[in-house]
Amino acid sequence: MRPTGKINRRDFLRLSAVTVAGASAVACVPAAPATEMTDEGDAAPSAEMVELIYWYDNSYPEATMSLAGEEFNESQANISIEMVPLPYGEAIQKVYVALAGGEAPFDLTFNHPMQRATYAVRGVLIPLNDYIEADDRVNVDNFYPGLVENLSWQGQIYAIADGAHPMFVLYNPSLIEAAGLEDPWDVYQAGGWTLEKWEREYAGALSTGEGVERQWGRTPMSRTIRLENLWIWGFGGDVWNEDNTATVINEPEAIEAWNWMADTTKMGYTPTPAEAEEFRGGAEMMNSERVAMGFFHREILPYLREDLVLGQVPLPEMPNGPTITRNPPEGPGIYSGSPHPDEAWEYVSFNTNRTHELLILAHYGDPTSPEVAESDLWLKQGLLPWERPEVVDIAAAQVTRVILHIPGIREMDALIQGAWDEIVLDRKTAQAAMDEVKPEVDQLIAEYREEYGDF
Amino acid sequence: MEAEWRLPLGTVFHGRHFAKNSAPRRFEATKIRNILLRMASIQSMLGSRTQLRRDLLGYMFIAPWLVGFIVFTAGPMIGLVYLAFTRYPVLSPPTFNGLDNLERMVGDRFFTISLWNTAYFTFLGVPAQVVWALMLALLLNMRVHGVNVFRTLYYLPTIIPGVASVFLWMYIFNPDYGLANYILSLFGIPGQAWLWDPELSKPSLIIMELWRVGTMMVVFLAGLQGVPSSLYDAAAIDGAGMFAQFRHVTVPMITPLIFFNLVVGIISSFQIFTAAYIATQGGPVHTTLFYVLFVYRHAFENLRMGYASLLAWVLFFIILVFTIVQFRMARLWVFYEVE
Repeated sequence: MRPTGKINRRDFLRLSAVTVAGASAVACVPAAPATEMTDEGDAAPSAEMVELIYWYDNSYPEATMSLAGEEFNESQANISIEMVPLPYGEAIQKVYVALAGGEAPFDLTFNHPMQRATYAVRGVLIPLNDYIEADDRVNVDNFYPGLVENLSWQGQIYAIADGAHPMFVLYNPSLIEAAGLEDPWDVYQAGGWTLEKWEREYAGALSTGEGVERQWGRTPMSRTIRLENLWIWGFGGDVWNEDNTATVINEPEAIEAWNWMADTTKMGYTPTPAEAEEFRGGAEMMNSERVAMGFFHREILPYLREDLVLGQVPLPEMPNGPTITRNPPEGPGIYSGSPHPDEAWEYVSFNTNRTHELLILAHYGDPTSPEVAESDLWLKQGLLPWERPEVVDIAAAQVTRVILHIPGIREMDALIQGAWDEIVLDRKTAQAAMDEVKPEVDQLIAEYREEYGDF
Repeated sequence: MEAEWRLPLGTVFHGRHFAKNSAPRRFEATKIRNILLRMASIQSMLGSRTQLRRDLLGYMFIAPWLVGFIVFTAGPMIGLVYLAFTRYPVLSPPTFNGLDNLERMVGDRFFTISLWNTAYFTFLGVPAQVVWALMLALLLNMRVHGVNVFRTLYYLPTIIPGVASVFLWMYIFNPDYGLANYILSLFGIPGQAWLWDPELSKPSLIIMELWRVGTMMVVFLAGLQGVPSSLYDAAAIDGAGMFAQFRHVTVPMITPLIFFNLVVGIISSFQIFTAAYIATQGGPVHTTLFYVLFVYRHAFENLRMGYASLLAWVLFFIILVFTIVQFRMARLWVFYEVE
């Protein structure tokens, strides 16, 4: 009979202790440096390989970012980069948690106007001004107005934009035609593309059907002050006062805008937030062909159905005159805790040039300067067959506005959106809702000014 | 005459305890007693050593869990006590700010709103879950053909990831073509906005949670199968009908399980997060801003980690108080068979 190898409790504990001790000892031994081999099989002279890590949010197309990483690695002898996508919805939380640990595991991370003040004041990213001045490969002087400022704080540049993100209206020509409406681009060219035309006449005519056949004229009103500001500006109002010490979202012009936006939803021309939950974002709304028009920038294009043919038209003329707006740009910044800031700058430089090109080729990015806008890369390869370069030019090349992302804007926005719900649900008038929330927003502004200084 | 002997172990015996006996007999009796005592003492020492060894072994076996608990649960909890009295913007070190966070909490209307939303969800939702789970368990305890299939089907929602089930329910509550409005339409009731209606948003989430009572149901099912059939037989002989049997036999016998499900349900219900985070983001009009979502926003969106730490401790105490109250009240209505 074969003897069974029973192990008693004492043996088990001894074995466990030995295993744990062995594993600990192995873990504590410093890793041997990798030895590079030449083609002849000899060990190459040891040049220290610097490995960078870039945490980016995956609103950027992952395939393009991976390709950018590969090309960068091929172009460098002693630097390599690992491109780590973070899920868009929780990317910033992951970065914060990593930073809270003291030594974040990345050398570069994305910077957005929403975080720029926090990052600058807390010393998370290093200023790039000296690098930019010393490096001929990077020229931000020819960037469209505002692009550099959007990623700067008190004169210091903390990231370089890899797109301008001008906004425009996308529309479904088949649905427009089926509704018997004139093509919006033709209307625009004739000078009649107004807010009234877009959000009342067209959106109304395109909102039809019931149940699963329900169709809406346009995508939902954006539930963030960072986009609602466009309507507020369009009606002659503003979000912050002149010296950014208080909000003015309850002033008459802003109230007019709130009422206009709420009416668009109440009339059924856009999905309510509950109805919008059916779709996972704007791209799906356009792909389903149940929403006829939308308010987008180019980042949506890689996520559209390949066989879908859409039209593009600039944003309409607002009651207060033409208002061209831009979604805030993003770009990589260098983490102050990185042991390799110079090598990280190499990637920033690469990102400003080659990654920017790759993003354009992926139909995601858009020109950051007039030079790029006139290039063959943009005009011949960057645009989808149905795109109109004039539309992007109109939005990008003119003087554009981006809402000032003051520190704490996200916390303030949560308060404002609560008031916005009250208006849309007819629980309060726009005036009452905004009057009620204003003191709370002002209180937060005061708190953040105390912490961050003037902004 | 009083004799005194000093034993090697240091125990002193006085002869006066044996005064009634003669001296030689006293000596013999004391000697035997001392020997027995020494033996008992050695035995006890040996015994306690073995016990100690056993205890140590026990601790070694639970060490992985113990270390994990101390490092990942107790340690951070203790750390939070300190952070609760600091201003900690996450990206820079915490600085002591005394009772500022407490002051902020008292004046924060969203603290009250989130507490109210959570209490509403808990005190309406958990009893509903317990009743629903018990009803399902009673049905699944019936001896019918294919009952095991039903048991599996009813348990299935529990193992579906929370996020996936939230998306499913968002379709059910879709105002345009959702199943919920379709069912209402069969009765001539107009469709509702459900998650987008401030009056219905919390009830909708309560309904959503009813779908996931599988664990409660299994606990009840196990309890129901443990009720001795002799009790039902006796009740039947006494003329008790089905309802009387349920009321006077089943319910008293499963009160420990009702208690268990209530305690666990209330603890987890106070921590509701996923459904509100995904489906409503706290809206509309903050009606689904539940406490943990409120804490999360302060910790990871507003970078007020010190304040969030205080809020987390407040939630811990609230849950603790409710659990203690439940245990105290349990004496009044929970019946244990051994009593």
